[in-house]
Amino acid sequence: MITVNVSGHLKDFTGKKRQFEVPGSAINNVVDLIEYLNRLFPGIKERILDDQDITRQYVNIFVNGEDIRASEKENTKLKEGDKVHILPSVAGG
Amino acid sequence: MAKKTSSVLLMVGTAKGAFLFTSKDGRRSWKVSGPHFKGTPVFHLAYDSRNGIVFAGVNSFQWGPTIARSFDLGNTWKRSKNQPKFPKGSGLSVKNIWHVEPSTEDEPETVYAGVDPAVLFKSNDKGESWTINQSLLNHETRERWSPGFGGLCLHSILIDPRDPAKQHIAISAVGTLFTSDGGQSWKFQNKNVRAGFLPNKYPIYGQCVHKIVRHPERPNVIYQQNHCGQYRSDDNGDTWTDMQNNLPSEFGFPIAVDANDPKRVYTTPLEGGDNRVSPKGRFAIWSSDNEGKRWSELNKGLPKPPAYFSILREGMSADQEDPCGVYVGTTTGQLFYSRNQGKNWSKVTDVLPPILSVSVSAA
Repeated sequence: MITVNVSGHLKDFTGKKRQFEVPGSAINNVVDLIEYLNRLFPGIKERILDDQDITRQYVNIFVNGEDIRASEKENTKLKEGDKVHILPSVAGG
Repeated sequence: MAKKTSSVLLMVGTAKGAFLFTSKDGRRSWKVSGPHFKGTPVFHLAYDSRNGIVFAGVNSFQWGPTIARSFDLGNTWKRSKNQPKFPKGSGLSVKNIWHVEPSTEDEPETVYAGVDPAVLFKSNDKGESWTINQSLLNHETRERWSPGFGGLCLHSILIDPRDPAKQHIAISAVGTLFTSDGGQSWKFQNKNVRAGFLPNKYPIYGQCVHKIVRHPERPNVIYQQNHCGQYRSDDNGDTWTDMQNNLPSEFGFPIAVDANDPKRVYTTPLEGGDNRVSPKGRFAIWSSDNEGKRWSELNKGLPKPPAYFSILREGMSADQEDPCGVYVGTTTGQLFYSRNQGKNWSKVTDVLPPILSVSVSAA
């Protein structure tokens, strides 16, 4: 299973659940994961990705603690046991 | 005879959510609900008098834009199932929903939305799903469009009550465009409108239009508040006449018309593009009862000088009552209104977040 953690506004889509698991066998990369989530929680994809399926500027996705922007972005590979965090960025102060 | 509506709905979008004010006693007192969409900027709200739906343009800094609808006057909200989106491969993505405009009785389930980057979306199912206007997306001049300070936003949509295929839209800083064929083609309508910030002061397009409104009883009459002046068109936008005259500034954002007085118009001048506050600290709404030939300063009941307020393009609205009510919200959270064409003003509240939009309707 892949463990997914979400926070902020995304909890409005997940029935307030912060953490849940999805089967790793059906998911190859981050795009697959978000499409899978969108089937579970309709509308969540548009909050994470923009119209061109690029991660919104102030949303961060981490796979096992690594920001996907530093690797293969939305094509970052996923496998069983991975931990994914989808978080709003913290900016300003 | 004075028109009396059983309930007036005042919809206020702020930087931290929306607030709905309802009056059932002739606009004497207001009951408030909210914040709706807590913590999230709401650029515009619109009430669809054909079916009672309230639309909201909700623009999250982090999670992107959403059009939401309420079928019960704000008790609950639902996101549109298929949100406004640019096509894949266009390289564009909706940044903000700027304006939602229900169409006329002739197309009872149709609603329009204007967004940044500037394009028009249409819904034929009361806002459940949205389709992009391809002609505007692919307009031959689009590559040369420049954004205003607030972005390349399509902020005004006027549907002709005589024929909904005839529409005006306004984009900052592109100008006013008109279609006579339901959005299949668009032409510019900026004749005599000045672009003081460009080498060519009267270009075909490139004007920084801030807001346009149509007179409901005289549909050929359109008023415009521009970065560079106030204008009136008597020929459905073909030509424009400067009506700044004795106003203290050419600059301002909103403009509103009195639905019961065919020649009465309201605006809120600001000092200028470099200092967007009440001119010389004199906060006032200005009205003209002769189509902008002569303006009067309306400030009875408003804060006295020094009062440096700022009002955004959706920050003023006039109702359909008789006498006309006028409503103004500031970027510092004050909400003022008048029940008598601006002669006297009262405060609804002064403790809101920065006000982005004020819309009013009988409900």
